[in-house]
Amino acid sequence: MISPAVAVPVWMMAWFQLREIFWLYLFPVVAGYIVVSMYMLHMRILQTTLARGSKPLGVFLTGSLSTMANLFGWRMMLRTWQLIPLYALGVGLAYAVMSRVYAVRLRRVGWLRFPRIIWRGDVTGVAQIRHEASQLLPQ
Amino acid sequence: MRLAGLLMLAGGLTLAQPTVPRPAPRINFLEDCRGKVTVMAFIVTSCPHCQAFSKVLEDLSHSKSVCAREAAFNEDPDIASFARSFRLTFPVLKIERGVMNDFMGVPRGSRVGTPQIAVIDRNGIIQAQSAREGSPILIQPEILGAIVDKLRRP
Repeated sequence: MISPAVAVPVWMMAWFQLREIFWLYLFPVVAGYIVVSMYMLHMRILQTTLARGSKPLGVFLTGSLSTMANLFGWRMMLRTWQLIPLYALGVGLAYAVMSRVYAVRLRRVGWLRFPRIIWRGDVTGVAQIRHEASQLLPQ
Repeated sequence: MRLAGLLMLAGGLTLAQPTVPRPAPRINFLEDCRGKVTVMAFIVTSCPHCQAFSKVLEDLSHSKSVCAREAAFNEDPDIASFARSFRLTFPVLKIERGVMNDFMGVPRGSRVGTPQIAVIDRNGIIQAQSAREGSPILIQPEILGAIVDKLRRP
């Protein structure tokens, strides 16, 4: 409660409200989304590593990071129960989005590698992965 | 439906806090702050928000030369160790919870969000104070600083 006689600058109040909206409403959604996305990504990398027999560095990194994100989300959510539905909203959203992901591939640009998402609707991308998979299968 | 509305209204009235501006109740540990812009904070020494606010208040007491006071109302607070660990140079006192209730106009026995802050002008009028459930806006250093600046102007 601030007396009307003490006029706090409008931009200060607006900036405070914006930060409050972010931390109270958006951040839990983002946290929940990141946690599930990372776990799903981890599972896909794990499956690829098992199929190809490649080095398990990616499995280790995504497994550790997703667990860290999960515990961070829980710790943040436990601060107050009002954050639970918003956290759950992020989780649900991530599951819905990830159900549309067919695969995540790494695209090399020089030294760097960037993840590239192949969506279920991407007919060419899906066909190419199926073709590559058929080549890997024992004849 | 009407009964529910009446019950909600009654609940709201019993928990209603006095609005600002209003005269600050006279308490002896604010006597030496008379005539100065004062920030009074009621804290719980174990509360992380209160600990963070103590640092804000310490900075404010130097940069804006306000009269800063803190009063801990939790059970058996170790205020000496609290002041030492946060390097507080303003007085930190130990009070009964009821003193906080009366000062902030919060009904006794109700839950409060801490820190409970009151900003008092030179004439002893509370110009800003925390709501019963706490007011994060008053913990923000820039907003509290802006309020103090306004009150310091003649």
